[in-house]
Formats: sequence, C-alpha cells, structure tokens
Amino acid sequence: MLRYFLSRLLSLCLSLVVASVAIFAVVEVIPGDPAAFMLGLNASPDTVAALRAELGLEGGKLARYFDWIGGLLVGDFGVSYTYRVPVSELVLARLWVSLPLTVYALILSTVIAVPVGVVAASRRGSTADYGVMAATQLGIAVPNFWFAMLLVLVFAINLGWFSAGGFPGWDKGVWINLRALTLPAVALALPQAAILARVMRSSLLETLGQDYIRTARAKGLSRRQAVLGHGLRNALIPVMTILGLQFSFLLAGAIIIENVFFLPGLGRLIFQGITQRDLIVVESVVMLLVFAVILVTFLVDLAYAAVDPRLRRR
Amino acid sequence: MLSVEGLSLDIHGSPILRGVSFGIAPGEVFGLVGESGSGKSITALAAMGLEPRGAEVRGAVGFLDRDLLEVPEPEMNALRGREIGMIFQEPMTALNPVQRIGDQVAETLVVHGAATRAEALDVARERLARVGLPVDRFPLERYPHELSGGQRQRVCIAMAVALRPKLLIADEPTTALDVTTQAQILDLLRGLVAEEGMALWLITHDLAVVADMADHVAVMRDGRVVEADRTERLFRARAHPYTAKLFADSGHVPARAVQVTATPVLEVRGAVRDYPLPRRTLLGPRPAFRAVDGVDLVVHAGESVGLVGESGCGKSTLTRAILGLDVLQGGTVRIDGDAVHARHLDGRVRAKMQVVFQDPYGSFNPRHRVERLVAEPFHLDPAPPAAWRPRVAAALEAVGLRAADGGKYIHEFSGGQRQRIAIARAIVIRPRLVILDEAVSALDVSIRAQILDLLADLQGRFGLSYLFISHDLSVVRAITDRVLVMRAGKIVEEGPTERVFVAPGHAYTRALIAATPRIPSAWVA
Amino acid sequence: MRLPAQLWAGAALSGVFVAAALISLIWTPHPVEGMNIAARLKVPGDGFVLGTDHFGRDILSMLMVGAQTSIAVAVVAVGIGMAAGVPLGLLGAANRGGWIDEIVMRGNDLVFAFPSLVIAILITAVFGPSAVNAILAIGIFNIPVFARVTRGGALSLWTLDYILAARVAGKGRLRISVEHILPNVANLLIVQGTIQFSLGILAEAGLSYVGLGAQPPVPSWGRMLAESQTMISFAPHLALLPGMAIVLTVLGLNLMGDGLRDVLDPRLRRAR
Repeated sequence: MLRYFLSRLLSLCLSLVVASVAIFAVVEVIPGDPAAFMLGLNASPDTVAALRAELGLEGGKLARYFDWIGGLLVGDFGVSYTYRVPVSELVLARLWVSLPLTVYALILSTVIAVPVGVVAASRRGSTADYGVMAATQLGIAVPNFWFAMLLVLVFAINLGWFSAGGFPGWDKGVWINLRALTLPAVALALPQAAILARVMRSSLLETLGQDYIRTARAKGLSRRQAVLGHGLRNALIPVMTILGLQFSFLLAGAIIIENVFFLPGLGRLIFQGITQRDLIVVESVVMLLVFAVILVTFLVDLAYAAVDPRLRRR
Repeated sequence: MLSVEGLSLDIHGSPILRGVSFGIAPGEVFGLVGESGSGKSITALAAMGLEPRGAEVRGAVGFLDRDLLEVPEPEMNALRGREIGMIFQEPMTALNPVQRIGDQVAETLVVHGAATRAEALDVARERLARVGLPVDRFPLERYPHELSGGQRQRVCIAMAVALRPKLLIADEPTTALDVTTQAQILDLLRGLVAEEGMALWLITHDLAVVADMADHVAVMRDGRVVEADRTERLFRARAHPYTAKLFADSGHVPARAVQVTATPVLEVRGAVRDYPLPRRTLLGPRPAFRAVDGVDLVVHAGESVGLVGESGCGKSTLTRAILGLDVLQGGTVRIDGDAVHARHLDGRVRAKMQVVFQDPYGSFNPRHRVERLVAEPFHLDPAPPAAWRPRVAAALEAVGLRAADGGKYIHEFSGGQRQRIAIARAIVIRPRLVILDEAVSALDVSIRAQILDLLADLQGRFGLSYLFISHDLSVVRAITDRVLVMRAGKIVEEGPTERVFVAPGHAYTRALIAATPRIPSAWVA
Repeated sequence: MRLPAQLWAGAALSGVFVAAALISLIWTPHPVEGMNIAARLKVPGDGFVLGTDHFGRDILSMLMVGAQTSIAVAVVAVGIGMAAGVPLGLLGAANRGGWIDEIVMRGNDLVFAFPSLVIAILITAVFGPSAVNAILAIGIFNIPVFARVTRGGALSLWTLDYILAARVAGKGRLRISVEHILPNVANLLIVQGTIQFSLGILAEAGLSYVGLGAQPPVPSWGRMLAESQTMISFAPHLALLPGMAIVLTVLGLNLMGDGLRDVLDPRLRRAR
C-alpha cells in the first residue's frame, strides 16, 4: 500500500514539474520578451525596460524559472501588471467562485448519473433503458454553454425563478449564492451526467456478465442483491476514471460557463488576463488549473486502491 | 431426490436441450459427461433457474416434491444456496475480486437469514477449515487474488456447502486445475458427500473423473441423454455407439512408425531464465524469479519427446527460449547444430523449427485468408518461392483439408479444422522440429484423436521431430517416445515414456501419475 | 448482415451538414458578408428561411458556412490526433514497458493534465486567437486519446498466439505492428475517430464562443451564439438555430459512431 502511495506521489510530483516547465516555456520563452509582448507594439523602450526590471526578467531563463516555482511553493504568484495587486489575492478571491461551482456540478452530475445508469443497466432492454439511452445521447451532443443560454431563457427570463447571472458574494449568505450557482452548475453537470450515466450503465452491464455474479446467484442472492452487492463496487472502478476526467472537463467548462453567467471566477480572470495581455495572471491561473487536475488524478489513483484490493499490494 | 423429466430448452428458437431425463438419489454421486456443446452445463443452469436470457424451458425438474421450473423466483432464491449449492469451472473469476473470502462465504448464511454476520463468520471459519483453508494460514481477510486457483475453488466449495445443502452441483470443477490439485479437490468433494450425506451432481468431459467418482452416469450428446446407467455397468457395456466411440477416442493411441536416429535436432544445455520481480524496498535490488533452472533437453531426428509439468513449472518459458523469442540468462540452445540467439536469429536457423499453439481461436489473424496465414513462415526463406501457392495447397492437403480452403477466412472453420491449419502453417517450410505447445489440450476427445493420428502420420511422412509440451499425461503417453518431467524450473526425471509411466523414479512423477484419474483397467478390458 | 438503424440515422444527419458545408463553398442563399440593416432581426420565414441577425445577415447562409469551419477544424484535429497518436500507441505497445512506452504513457498523462480548453487558452494568450490555433489545441489533445486507444487495443492483441506465430516466422515488432496489429485495431480507431470528430465540433464551438476560435468575419456557430446572447430575450431564434445545428451534427456523429461500433466489433456481432 505504501509502495503504491509513494509511486503515485512520485508520479504526481513528476507531472507537476513537467507541466510547470511546459507552461513556463510557452509563456515566457517562446514569445521572446514577455515585457515587450505585454506592453504591445507602441510601448517606448524605457517603459519596456522598466517593466522588465519590475517583472524580474533580467536574470537567466533558468534562474527565472526557479524564482517562479519558488514563489508558487510559498504562495507568491507575482504581481498582476494590470491590477497592480498580488496575483495570489486575485486568484484566491476567484477560487471561491470557481471551486464551489465545479464541486457543485460534480456532485450534481454524480448524483444524477449513478442511479440512472444503475437502473438502465439492471433493466436492460426495457422502456426505461431506451429512454435513458436516448436522453443521454442527446445530452452528450448539447454544448454546455448553449444549454446554459437555454436555461437562462427559460428559468431566468421567462419564469424568473433564478437571476440571469452575477454572484452576490459569500458574505451575503450561503443560500443566495448557492442559488446563483444553481443554473451554472446544472448547465455544467447535465451534459457530463449524460456521459457518466452511459459509462455507469455499460460498466455495470459488463460486470453483470462476470462469473462471480453467477456465483452470487447460485448462493441464493436475488438479481437485485447480486447487482448491488457484487456488481456495483466492481463497476465503479471505470466510473471513477471518468469522474477524475470529468473534474478537468468541469473545471474547463466552468471557464466558459462563468462567461455566460457573468460569474467573477477564474475563467473571467483568465480572459481578462488574455485581453489585457497580463501574462503573469494567465500563467499563474493555468498552472493552478493544471495543479488541480493533477491532484485529482492522484486522488482518483488512491481511490482505486481503496476500491480494488488487487492494487494495494503493488 | 432430483428428477429431470423431459427437459427441453430453446434459445431464441434454436433447440439446445431436447427431452433430457435422469434422476439423482439422495447421497449419491451422479456424473453427467459429454463433449463441449452437448448441453451438460446448461442443463444444470436450467435446473437452478439460472438459464441465460432468451431461453425457453419446458419439461419438469422435480426436487423435494416440487417442480423447480414452477417455483416462483423469490422462493428459488431461498432454495439456491440453502438446498442446492453450485460451483463452476473457472475458480479464477468465480469470486468477487474486491470482497474478502470470509465475507463471501458468510454471505451465503446471511442472505438466507440463517445467522447474524458475526455468527456467519464463525461458520465461514469452520467451513473454510473443512475445505482445507485453516484460518491460521488463510485468514478470513484474504482477497481472492491472494489465493491460487485450487485454493479459490476451495473457497467456492465452502461457499456452496456453507448451509449443508442436499445437493451440490459441480460444473467441471477441476478442468481449470492441475492434476495434483484436481485430485485434492475431488478427494475433498468425495469426503463432503460422505460426511454430509449430500448428493453430488458432477458435470465433466473427463470419463476418467466420472469413473473415479460417480455412482451413476449419463452421457449427453447434442442436447440429449444417449445413455444412462450405473457407472461400472455403463463403462463395461458401452452399449450405445456414441459411448463406445467416446471411450475409444479418449484412450486413443495413434499408430506410429518410429524411426529415431542418433542425430540431435534440438540441444538445450544448462538453460537458465530469470524474471525480475518488483522491488521489495523502494531502492533495493530487484529480486529475480528463476523460471528455468539449468535445463538440459535433447530431441533427436524423428523422435517425439514429451515435456510434462504443472502450470508455472517453467515449460512455457523454456518453449519461448527454444523458439528464440526470449533471451536466456545462461546455457545454450542449438537447433541442428546452429546456436539460437533471441536477439539476432538468422531466418535460415529459425526456419528449422515451428510451433503449434493451444488456442485454435487466437492463433490466426482474423483478417487474412488461410493461404496467407499458412504462407507466413515463408518470411524466413531468404528467397521466398515464387510458386508458394502450390506449396500452401500441398500443406493444406497434407493436414486433411482441401486446397480450395486457402481462399477462406479463419472464422469459417471449426476448432479442430483450425488446429489442422495451424499444423499446416508449421510444416509448410518443412522444419526439422515442431513444438506442440498444449496443441491438443483445448480439443474434445474425438477431435483430439484425429489430430493425434494426423501428427503421427505427418511425422512418418516428413521425418519430423516433435517436442510435445503438455500437462496431460495420457496424451503424452500416447504419442511420445521419451518424456521429461519438469517441476519448479528443473527437470526432475527423464526416460523412455513407458518406463517413466510404469516405473516412475522420482517422487514427483509418482505423485503426478497417482493423481491422474484412470478408468479401472478391469472395466475397459 | 443488417446495418443498425442508428448508423443510418446518424449518417443521414451528419450527411446533411457535410452537404451544407460543401454546397456553401459554391453557393449560399444570400451573401454572408453583406450587411443589410433594412432586413435586420427578421424571424424565420419572412423572406429568409431561417431569419436574419442584427446586421441583417441570412442565418441559413451563415449556418452553412459555419458548418465549413466546424467540420474543417474537427477533421484536421482528428487528423493530427491520428497521425501522431496511432504510431505512438503502436510503438508503445510493441515495446511494452520499454523506455518508448514509458515516454508515450507519461507524455499522455501530461497532456491529459491540461484540459483542451486550457491548452487553447495558453496558445491563444501567446500567439493570438485564430482558427489555426484552435485546431492545434484540439489536435494536441487528440494525440493522447488515439495513442491510448491504439496502445490498449494493441496490447491485448500482442498476447494472442498469432502474434507469437508471426514472431516464430521471424517477423520484427515493427512489421508485426503494421501487418497484424494495425488492421485489427482499425475498428477501434474508426469508432474513436467519429467520437473525437464530434468532440472537436463541440470544442471548436466552445472556443469560438469565448472568442478564441475563428475570428470575424469567418462565420462560426460558436461565435453566432456568443453574438446572440445579449439578444436572447427578444430574438431567441438567433440563439436556438446555431445551437441546434451543433446538437444535430454531434448527435448524428455519435449515432454513427455507436452504429459503427456495433457493426465493427466482432464481439458484439457474435452476440447479436
């Protein structure tokens, strides 16, 4: 078990190092002089030089990389060029919108998809199964941002149940904010739930064909007992893989959805960073997103070991 | 106690069982034998109410004054596991991989409401000890992947007999196991039947196992019972022609004209093959597992040599090394005097040996026509014959197929025909040595007899040498001149086949032979 | 053998959009670049089959040309993914556990750590938004997908006896990969190809929607949606039509993929 944990941890660190090098290379090395890039074509050489000094671009590339990484490790993301505040402050504030949104969507997606997939698999070939398959087929085809627009049209503009966008802030209370995040979370979650339900269904169908299900039936378990008692846990292993991937899809999807609903999250921050050529912000937010994805992959690996004893020995 | 009457079963309209009838008395062992596809397993599943979807069952299965086919599903659930237990062929996949063995055995009791979980675990401990898995060596917390195949089958048995059912159905319970393990499992089943007064319905393809175990036997073919009787009487009389043929085929010894010379074709000297194991500590050295440990082996021109051993003894590893597919850590392999090096092996040398594998279904690329499949070894010929088609046609005809079959795809052939095609591919470049790696193990006895005849015939015609690798002692005895017994990477005994079988020198060989089920010779005389 | 109905339905549905894209190369009902303020925000049917937008441009024509963009981006992105991913997967499987395999797998993990949108954001932040950069971002993300599918399929084939037989016939790993492995993983690749195609269309729409894809004046479905957003309360058809175009195309491709899987997978074929 310890071996497995350590090997996953090593892989986590390795991924982080390589990812950070890749991001650093794309942002700070390929464009040549980041300072000139950020200021645009009309900047005077003096301003460029001043910004270079401010950004600490004087040193060699290697030294700059280690400066950057060292800063990240202690929570120093640098100073935003446009906002003139530490990037960590910006990011932290926005994280409190993006992270709850992603988790909200992930929970919604799982809570909807797993039971639906289980029902469809255990009643294979029934009307319910065909209904689920048709609905999920449609769900996969719907772009989440368009779905978000439809939700706004129906539930905000026509019915007036929710606001069309905006975020009050956590100091205004929990419920009002959860309400504000509900439409975005639904828009994010339903297309992903469609995928997850299909994976759950096919994975459970596959385990139901296994010999140990027949053994369980021969022991006197009913179909239902065999499905829930022996099929489900084995079927969850591929579902966890998809859940891990979904986290990264949801996080990326949140970037777009935040634009639909005018939510002040990381997505909005990153687009502001791009339009204002604020590379420091873009670089830091991308690194943070990648870190989150790698961390979730690591957690999924640990969850495998919890579910599947065969992995623990390795 | 159990009486199957006129049981018929259709799947999507095609008939699988046609009027199967037989009875099992309390406390007796009933054997149901037949070749693959005869419907013996599905008969048991139908009796248990576990037939596959789309199956339509007619007839009656009487059990304790009830017709099981009429019993509603909830009551069937209560019956399964409590009154009738069942074990299956594949112990490797029959257990839930993510649940502890103790819990899996205890579940039988819990699901029938016979005990609380704590009590059930006590019973599980006792039952597992009874089937040979005492708790001090096999704690209840073990997971299935930590056990061997034989041990897993013991867990399955403990699970099936946890509530002391009146009938235990065992569907090919030892087919996937080695002979010595098979003997232990059969002993265990016999003991349980005697102790618990339980009836055993044993389903198998192996006549010798039935002869050894059963009081009554029924022979099935194409969904029908062709003959049923007391075991000894049925074996002595062999009244039905199919029964008689099954007997003849299972003991078939092909006629061979042996022309062994003193010229060695294959010479293996001091072969050593290590496999690295995962590190035990994070940075420590990787321990190694020695799969082949100083093996010497010679096959002479025209000779058939058998290499027998149980799974994991290293015979497959040795085969791969001989074929030049794996590197040896020590020793040499010579074919016709030329050294075999896995890393740089000349096509000319490689062309002197070919191989036939066990699985007739995985041995061919499904996208190529048969003629291209058979012609593949011509790749070894530096100057591939321009007229390769006639040679492929000749090879196909030599194995009893038609030249026109070369234009077909592999899925158009049966398992036995595929094995013929595999042999055609092996002989098409006229090798000196053909390695037969469990080449007849997956075949039914009637097909196996034909393939053995074919191999004997080809050996005479083309002067081939065979290295016959198998776990099946009776086959090796039927077709080889000399035999080597392998265990844990070493050759423990070597000698002329008859001598080794009649007067085995090594304790392990004796154990192997003793473990092999046999039909009493008085019955077949 | 009967082809499944969903294959036909899917092929017909996606065929409509491919045809629309092809026709738009030579003809559209109205010019897409011409603004016509007099005919702005017309509802469908009023002289224009699907109405007009706030500049008076014909929606049908824009959808047809937008199909071009979507399909072109998706095709090239799948092409990039296959061209790089399939050889990597084959090589990795042929040298299982070797350093090539290790690099392929670790490289895959790395790309998987970047959601495709994040790659696109990085690329556009540095090189500026354009259709080409969108293609690159989506294509890079496709590489590990195809590498994984190829490697997985190939690994299970490598354990089969016919591969051993080919090795006994003296064939090298590369030759076996091309002659025996590739044709037998082709099914998987075709099915995965249609899936990635539909995902590519979704991804392109998303990137264009946030302004990182095709730039004006090139019409694209995603940007049409972005532009319609502020008008959704009084001109909902502007938001509905491009969205439905995306949904129907993707639905068609997915149905086709599922149908192809049923037809091509020998395991399923036997079961039917």
